[in-house]
Amino acid sequence: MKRVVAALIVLLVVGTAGLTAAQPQYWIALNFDVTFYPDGTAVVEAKLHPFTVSGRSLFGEKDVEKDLEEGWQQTAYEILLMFTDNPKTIKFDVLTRFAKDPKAEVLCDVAGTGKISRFKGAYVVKLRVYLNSSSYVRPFGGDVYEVKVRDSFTSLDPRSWIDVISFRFSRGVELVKYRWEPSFAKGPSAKKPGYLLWVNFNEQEAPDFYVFVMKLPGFHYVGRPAEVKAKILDAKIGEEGLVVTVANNSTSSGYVYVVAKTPQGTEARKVWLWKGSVVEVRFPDVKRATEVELWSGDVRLDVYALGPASPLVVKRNGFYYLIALLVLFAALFTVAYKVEERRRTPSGWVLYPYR
Amino acid sequence: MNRNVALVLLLFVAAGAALAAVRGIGAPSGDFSFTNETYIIEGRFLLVNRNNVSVHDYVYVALPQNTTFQKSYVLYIKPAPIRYMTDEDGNRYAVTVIDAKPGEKAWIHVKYRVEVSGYVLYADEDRARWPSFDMVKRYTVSTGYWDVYNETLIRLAYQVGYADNPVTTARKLAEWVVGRVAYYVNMGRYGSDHAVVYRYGRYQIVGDCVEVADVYVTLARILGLPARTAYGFLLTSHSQKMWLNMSTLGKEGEGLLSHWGGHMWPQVYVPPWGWIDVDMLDGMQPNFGIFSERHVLFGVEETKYYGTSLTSSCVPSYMTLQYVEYNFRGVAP
Repeated sequence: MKRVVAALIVLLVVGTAGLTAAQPQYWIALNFDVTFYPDGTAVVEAKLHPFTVSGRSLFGEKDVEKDLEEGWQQTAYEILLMFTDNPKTIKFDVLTRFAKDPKAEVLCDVAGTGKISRFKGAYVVKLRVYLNSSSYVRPFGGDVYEVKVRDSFTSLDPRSWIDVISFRFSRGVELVKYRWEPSFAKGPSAKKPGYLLWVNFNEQEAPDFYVFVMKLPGFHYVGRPAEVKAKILDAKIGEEGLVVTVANNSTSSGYVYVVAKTPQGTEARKVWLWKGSVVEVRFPDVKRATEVELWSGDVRLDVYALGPASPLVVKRNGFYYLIALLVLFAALFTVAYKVEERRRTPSGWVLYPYR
Repeated sequence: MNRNVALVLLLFVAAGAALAAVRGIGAPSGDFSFTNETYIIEGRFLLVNRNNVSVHDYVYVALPQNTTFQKSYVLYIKPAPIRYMTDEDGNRYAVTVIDAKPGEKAWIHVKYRVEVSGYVLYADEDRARWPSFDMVKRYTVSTGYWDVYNETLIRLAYQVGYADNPVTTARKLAEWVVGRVAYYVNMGRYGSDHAVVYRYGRYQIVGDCVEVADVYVTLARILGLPARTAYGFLLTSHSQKMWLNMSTLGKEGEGLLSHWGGHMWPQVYVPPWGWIDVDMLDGMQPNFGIFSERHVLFGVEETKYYGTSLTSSCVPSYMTLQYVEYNFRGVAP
């Protein structure tokens, strides 16, 4: 269930960290159907039904309908955020942009009283999401993958949640195991082969994450794609530290990560490369490194070995000061020692006042 | 024999003097000077059920957090929380329940003890390192409010903030940002794409602390410096009352600032020191690593695409928040 406020203001950010500024206008019941396919796609159908807390349906009300239709992209983003941290980095197809289905049924607990109401009619948004670039997929080896589905509504606003969500595992997909987070949330209300259903009466009972381990035989996970094709032209360690020269050979611009592997761990700089550009990236403090890697997205584009014998140049100003001071003191003592030798008493004792 | 002892002793003294002369050598804690303050914070939130049905309402209460520079204790929350939870960015918050009939009002009372260490960081640029790959990947991503793919902002960031050293980058950005603030209270959140405008022949950052923080975080992330926003309160004195009447809020404009100190500011991550505050609006100075003990932190925004609504002090589900009040009382350093 999602709370919609009267104005665009959700947060009062008030030069200040905010509070809710506007009055609630209506709520939206959220019912989702998710179907996983063996090729690593998921089709998500969102069914929305607006209502008042007294239980009056607002389905068909012109202003509300206009709001929801104009906000279909927001709903699409909320679907994508179920599978990723950033909706701009995941591939998807819009199957239904915005449709009105008067026959559909949408369920929710209207006022948090523990009773499910059935609303007739739904506004529908439907997407196909390609999980190969999802940030919530973990390969477990072979055809086995863990797929996390986030309740993106709770993530955005702690008082919102998906009222009803069903998961179908189509032919070819084998559900190995499943769990949900947090553990105090409730488990599925119905389960049968290839199907799980959660009916969430309130936000506290609703999981924040639905986690599935599945065999997806036709799926190849690639992670976030590279933004550019680039390579390391040169990397060397000198008095200025590590200097890496990187060239963007592609016709697009984008970010790369230049990663220095040092005895203390990695040091990384994220750099924007304009198309066709060549840049020098410096790590002033890096005096020893075994290799430099170049990444974009989740793709390692290049690696440049510096070798175990890469020079260690002590350039810290502090060390120079220290060495210079020690040399100076050593010289002073040598002089003092020589002078002292000449001032020795016959007994050989020193007159040097060292106390 | 005695001469040898003298030589050794003097070499020790010499080495010590040399070490002392070299800036920044020593444990990281030696890079900070602290000003401590302890606050007792009493708050109350008035909720009204404006619905014509009874509701069973979960109410989410933001809490002061525990950090390197802040230690927080909940003395009480009434009604007592049913549980404490943690959001995706690691912020703790409380969940309490109120049952209310139509038209019924209800108060939530809270009391916290918060020990704050304001600090000044003496950051030797020679000791600064770029962060690890994992940190850079996690804390430089694009979000709805921090669009690191905006090419205007990319050009701007490289023009005003690029440097080989992360501390230099953080400082240059702070100096640029604080000099371009066109402040007014903004009741929404523009995000960095809309907060930076070009007018009168120069770039300006329009809006309030949220926009300033969003722009700084975006520019830092563009330049590969891990960055996030922190939110909470900035006090003008150690004992202060703050309040908000939600029904008059929209009309107040900057008058709001006379009785409310909710605040947001950026932080950047630079090893070996970790997360460093950069509150440029505290005195309108760059303030990299200068963080007064008048800040009370309630949370951070890190990776969530649309930020968080926990910047609100109190988030009811069905009821309407009518009034918020906090009394801060400085009790001891």
